[in-house]
Amino acid sequence: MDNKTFDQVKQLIAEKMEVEPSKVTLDASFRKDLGADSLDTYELIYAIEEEMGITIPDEKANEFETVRDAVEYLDSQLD
Amino acid sequence: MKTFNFDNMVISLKQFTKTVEKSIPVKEIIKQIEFNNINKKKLPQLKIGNHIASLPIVQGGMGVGISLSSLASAVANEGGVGVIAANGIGLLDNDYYKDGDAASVRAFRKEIQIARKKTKGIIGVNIMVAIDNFKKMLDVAIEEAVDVVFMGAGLPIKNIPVKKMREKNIAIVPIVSSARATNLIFKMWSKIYNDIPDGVVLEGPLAGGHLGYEKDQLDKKEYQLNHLVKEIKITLDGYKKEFKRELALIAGGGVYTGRDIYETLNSGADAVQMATRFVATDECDADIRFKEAYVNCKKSDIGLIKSPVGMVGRAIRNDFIRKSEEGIKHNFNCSWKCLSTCKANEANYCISVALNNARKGQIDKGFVFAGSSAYRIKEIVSVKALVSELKKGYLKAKNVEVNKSLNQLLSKIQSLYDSYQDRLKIEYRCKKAYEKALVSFNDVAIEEVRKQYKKAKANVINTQLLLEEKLLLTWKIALS
Ligand SMILES: Cc1cc2nc3c(=O)[nH]c(=O)nc-3n(C[C@H](O)[C@H](O)[C@H](O)COP(=O)(O)O)c2cc1C
Repeated sequence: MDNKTFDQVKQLIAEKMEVEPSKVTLDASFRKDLGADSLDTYELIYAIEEEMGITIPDEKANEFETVRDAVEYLDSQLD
Repeated sequence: MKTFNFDNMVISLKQFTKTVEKSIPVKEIIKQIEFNNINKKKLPQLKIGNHIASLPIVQGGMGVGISLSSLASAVANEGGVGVIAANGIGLLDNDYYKDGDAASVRAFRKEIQIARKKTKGIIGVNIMVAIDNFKKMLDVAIEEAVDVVFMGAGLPIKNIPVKKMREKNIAIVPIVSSARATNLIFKMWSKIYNDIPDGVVLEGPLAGGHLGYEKDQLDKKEYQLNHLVKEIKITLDGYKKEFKRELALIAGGGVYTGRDIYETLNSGADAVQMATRFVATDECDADIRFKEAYVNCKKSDIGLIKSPVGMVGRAIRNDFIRKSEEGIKHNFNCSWKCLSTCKANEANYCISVALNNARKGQIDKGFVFAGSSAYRIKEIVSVKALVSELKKGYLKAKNVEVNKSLNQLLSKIQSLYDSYQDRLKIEYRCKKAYEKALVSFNDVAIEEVRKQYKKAKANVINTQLLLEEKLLLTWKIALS
């Protein structure tokens, strides 16, 4: 797993969700641990798209449970 | 309290005109009140994109097959916005299980074309963003050049052919449940398309069908319709300014009477969206047994369900729902997932099939979606009769409100006017006394009456200012 992607995502999540970066672990669940509702997730996805210059289909975004899911998907797209 | 008398109002203003005409546009005010009195038999119109509906009522789209060409054209003929629901429309076509996509496109196009033949009014369509054939259905709506496309159940942000829709003069209106979602959609649109939607439909927590809220949010004060309207209005106002455009705020969910419409508009909405009431009409496209379920249901029958598509829904709860909650499976064959978020296997039934059975009148093989006020429905009427009842109720509520405010102002103006007259007299007496004192060459006496005269003059001006204020307020109310 690419650490760079995780770092980037971590920072975006911390910023957008207004949580401590230390709370953003790979196994953190967007909903349960980071307190995101469905709108937060969308907002986050749009921010990631912009920052990393890729597009994530909305259906995929719905499937992200944990930070790891997002990072893994991003890595597969960035390769 | 004195009841408001329009003629008295005008007379009292006309009297007043003579004295302060120079400083207040009293004549203008009277003209406005007279104008308003003539026009008070009208409801405000709704501007949506480049279309103007003479009635500020949008008939909420209702799937599966509840609002099609018949209901939509009847509403459009009364001046409202009639809406055909695209969701599950393919089930009306015999070949749905052979080729679902083709069936949906065919059935949808047919309904739009029939509606167009039946009315010159405004016809919109309602398409769910999360549905697998979203793109295809949207293409049909564009080809058939409907007037408005409403898009809910998801965020209509990506892959919207905005330019093509603008070329066909199609208004684009997302369905939202919060100011946050509104802001996100508008923000992303302006980034991606350098354009914004033409307004939003706010579907509040009392609506029927799938809801955009979690169960525990539904009863909270901050999710009440009027409260949400105020929040979204602030969001839209920002974009109105930025894009120098009018945006329609359409609010619904539990709007039942003409009085409800008045109150919703008063809280800041430009129009209402209503669905439940339109189910109990002759023209509604569902089977008569579907409509009778509304007439016969009790308040305690209306409740929430956890829909297979992952949202909360409001319906008339029946044995079908209870049994499937207990784990009894209603067999179905789902060869494709028509909704990306659907978890049909966990819910023990296919919601499209269940809703389609209900549409056909086989209520025990499915269930009936309904808004929270469906239990108030007592009979099935024509759309014309329903709209006429709503109009009457609106105007009655409006007149009661306006008359109440005008009444209060009128009595205030009367008493201010009385004291204005008194003070004018006092001022006149003081003036005379001052003139008399001037020729007496008694400095002390002159100083004394001068003070009094000055005070009397100030009193007159103060009262006059107060009167001006009240009159301008009257003007504002008369304009409303
Ligand atoms: C039977 C029924 C079906 C509905 N189907 C849809 C739908 O397919 N898409 C949608 O956006 N809203 C749907 N709704 C919601 C309505 O369009 C509307 O926003 C809401 O019910 C308004 O509240 P009211 O019923 O209290 O007037 C449905 C509502 C009912 C009652």
